[in-house]
Amino acid sequence: MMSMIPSSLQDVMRIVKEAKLSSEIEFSDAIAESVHKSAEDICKTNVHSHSGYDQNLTARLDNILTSRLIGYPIMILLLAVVFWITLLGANWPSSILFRILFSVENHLINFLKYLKAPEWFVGMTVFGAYRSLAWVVSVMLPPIAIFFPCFTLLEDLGYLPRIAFNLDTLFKRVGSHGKQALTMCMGFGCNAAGVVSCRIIDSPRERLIACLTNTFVPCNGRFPAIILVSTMFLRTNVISARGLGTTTIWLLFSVFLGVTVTLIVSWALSRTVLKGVPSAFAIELPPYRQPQIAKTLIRSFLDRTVFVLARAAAVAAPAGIVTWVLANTSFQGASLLLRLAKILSPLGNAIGLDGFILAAFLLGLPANEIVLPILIMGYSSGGVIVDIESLSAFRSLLVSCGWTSRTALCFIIFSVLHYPCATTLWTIWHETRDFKWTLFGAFMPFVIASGACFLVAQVSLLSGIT
Amino acid sequence: MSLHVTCRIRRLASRDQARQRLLHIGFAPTAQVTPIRRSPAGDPTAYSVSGAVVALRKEQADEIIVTVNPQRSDTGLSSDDDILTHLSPHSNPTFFCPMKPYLFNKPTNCTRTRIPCSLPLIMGSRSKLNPKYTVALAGNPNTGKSALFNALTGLNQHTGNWPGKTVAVAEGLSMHNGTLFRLIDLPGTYSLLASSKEEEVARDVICFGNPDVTVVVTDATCLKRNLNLVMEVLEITSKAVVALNLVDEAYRKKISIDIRGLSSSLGVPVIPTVARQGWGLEKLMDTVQAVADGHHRQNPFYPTYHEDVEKVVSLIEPWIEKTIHGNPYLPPARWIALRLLDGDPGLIEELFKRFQKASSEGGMSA
Repeated sequence: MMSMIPSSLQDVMRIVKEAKLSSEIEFSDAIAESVHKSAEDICKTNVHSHSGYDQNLTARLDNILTSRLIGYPIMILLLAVVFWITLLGANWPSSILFRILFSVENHLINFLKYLKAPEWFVGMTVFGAYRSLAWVVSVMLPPIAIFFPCFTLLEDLGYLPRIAFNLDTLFKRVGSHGKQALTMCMGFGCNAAGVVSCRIIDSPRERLIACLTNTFVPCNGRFPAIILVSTMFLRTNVISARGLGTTTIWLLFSVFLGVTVTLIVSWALSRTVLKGVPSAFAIELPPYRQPQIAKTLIRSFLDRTVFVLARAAAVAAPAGIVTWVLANTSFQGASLLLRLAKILSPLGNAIGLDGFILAAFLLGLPANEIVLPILIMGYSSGGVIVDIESLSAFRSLLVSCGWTSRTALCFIIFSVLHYPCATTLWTIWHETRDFKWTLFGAFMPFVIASGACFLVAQVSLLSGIT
Repeated sequence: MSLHVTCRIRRLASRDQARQRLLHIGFAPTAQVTPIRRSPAGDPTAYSVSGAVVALRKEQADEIIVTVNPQRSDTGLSSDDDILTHLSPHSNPTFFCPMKPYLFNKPTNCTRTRIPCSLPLIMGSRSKLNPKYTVALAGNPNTGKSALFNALTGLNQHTGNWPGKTVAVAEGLSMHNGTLFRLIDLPGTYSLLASSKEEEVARDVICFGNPDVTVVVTDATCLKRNLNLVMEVLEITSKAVVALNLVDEAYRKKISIDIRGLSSSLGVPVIPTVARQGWGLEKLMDTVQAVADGHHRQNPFYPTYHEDVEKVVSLIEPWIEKTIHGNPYLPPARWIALRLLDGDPGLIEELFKRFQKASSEGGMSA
């Protein structure tokens, strides 16, 4: 019995093969068409459409949103409006949270001193863990909790497929898939989620391109840092309509930079290691649906808050402890962090940053949210006395460590283009099951980021602009 | 093809997977198609076909051979053209339109206890919560599976208005009339002859996971295309329920669907729902329970195929039947036979694997 089975399975395959050869119809087509025909018959008898309906709302909206003249400007405008709302709304809760959380810090120190906790313990928990946590919550949370609900509204409305529809030509020219635009939209939330969403792309080649380039979209964790740095260095007035406008433009710049590099890298990949022709593109444009505004806003707000808080607790606090230990463990007269910064400083200086910034990005590998807190700790361990009570104090700390607007610009560029966080790398490995591609996904962006920053830094140095 | 000129598809010149894709997405021969808009850059063009709007690149569109249909080359824009043409003008004035959304029973939370699936994990008592039935939610992309899943389980899967939002399988529990159901939210698929990763996931659950009931969530506004999947599911399992979702939108679009007629044509229950508002869910779960308990007479519709296909199927079906021994984790013999004819490489591979397992187990018991 056991030995008979494979032979009969082969028999079956033989019958099928012979039938396929002898018949003049293509079986798979015939089967699909029969199913389709039956569906049509059933519809014919049971579904009736009454005249008089015109697809008014969807058609009219699409006439505007995908129009030849204003389709692209509206896309940019929508993004700008969302950024602007974010900046406007985040300012106030951010400063309140900042004040509350940092006044708690003093009480916490006093409380620990009252308990007679050892010095190193106070340092580790308060200056390491608590400060990173408070930083992430106060600086990261408000913009994210405002940006994403707005973005989710656009998503619920049905605008995302239109973005893919509008941008497909660009992606086709660089040899990739229009749905990559959708994965990039998801990447705004979290690059790891963006990489997972690459599954909607059928062709493995194009899926891999989308996976590897997703990191060029500034995610949740980098976004507030970009806002902050551009707020502090690249505009004059802190709170004014013009100031907000300038920051909005800088945010748009960082998104465009990301999109441009995505396109260039996609093009380069599909000409070299991932050769191939663009595959089929078919995307449905669903009708616009009125979002359940209140529900969506609240849901998305809570989701993001939980997400950020969870990240803060899971990553920022432990990373704060590690950084504090590194900054306070002396080895031959200098702390480990200082040593690391010194090693990295030639490269850092060449690309318009410095050793501490590079060290912060390196230690920020687990999560991009913690790059700035690590940076503060690094600078303050370098002998600078800090008492960060407000953002202006933070600015003066950075300035005293040699930051100029050139450093800020390079920081933004590096932040947008640098390697993905550990979670994203793990997700890339999980999706591709290929160690080599994961490594490539880590080093390729790093090289590009360094290259771009080097270019900007050297050009600005040579031309004398600071 | 110029914009707003309705054409009839004659044949598809593309082959294999590209062709299947087009077929499943609605570009089938004899369907009417109207190009309605171009992307700002000019290339992908959006076509209204089978009640939906689908964008295609020029290369693919060139492979669809059409004839201009002079009778209906007027305004275009209405995506319901192809349905309209089948309608003899008001031949049936007493046509019953049962879909007024306000006729639905609104759900009450008191009858359905919501248990987040994380709860048993937290309490460490997963063994105590033993769901009686497993229910898979399948359906075309963007028909509201996740919304339905959320409404039934009280979980908060992310939803969005674009096809492809759900890429992974989510599970949740739902209590209805004292029975615990395990619900599986699948990624959207146009067909079970998977061509992409997430479609493969959905296919494997329906084909090999042996859910007690499969709920096929359909979009009432473009039912014709959705019925493809319904029929593929019916060929695999008779224990299916069709959830006719988005009926409020269909109502607004003045599409009327004879639900009883549809149900008797398909041979399985059809329940109108509006998942976003939570309408019709009570009835849906009642029906799911009845089907799972075996109280509902299911008489699923099977499409008939070309005679050459049927001949080969009748040749190989008995052997497959004998080999799989009515193994509940394998789809019916007829379906396997059809897939062997189809020649979908990924599926055949998967089938072979399970086949060998099934036959070796069969051999052992013999």
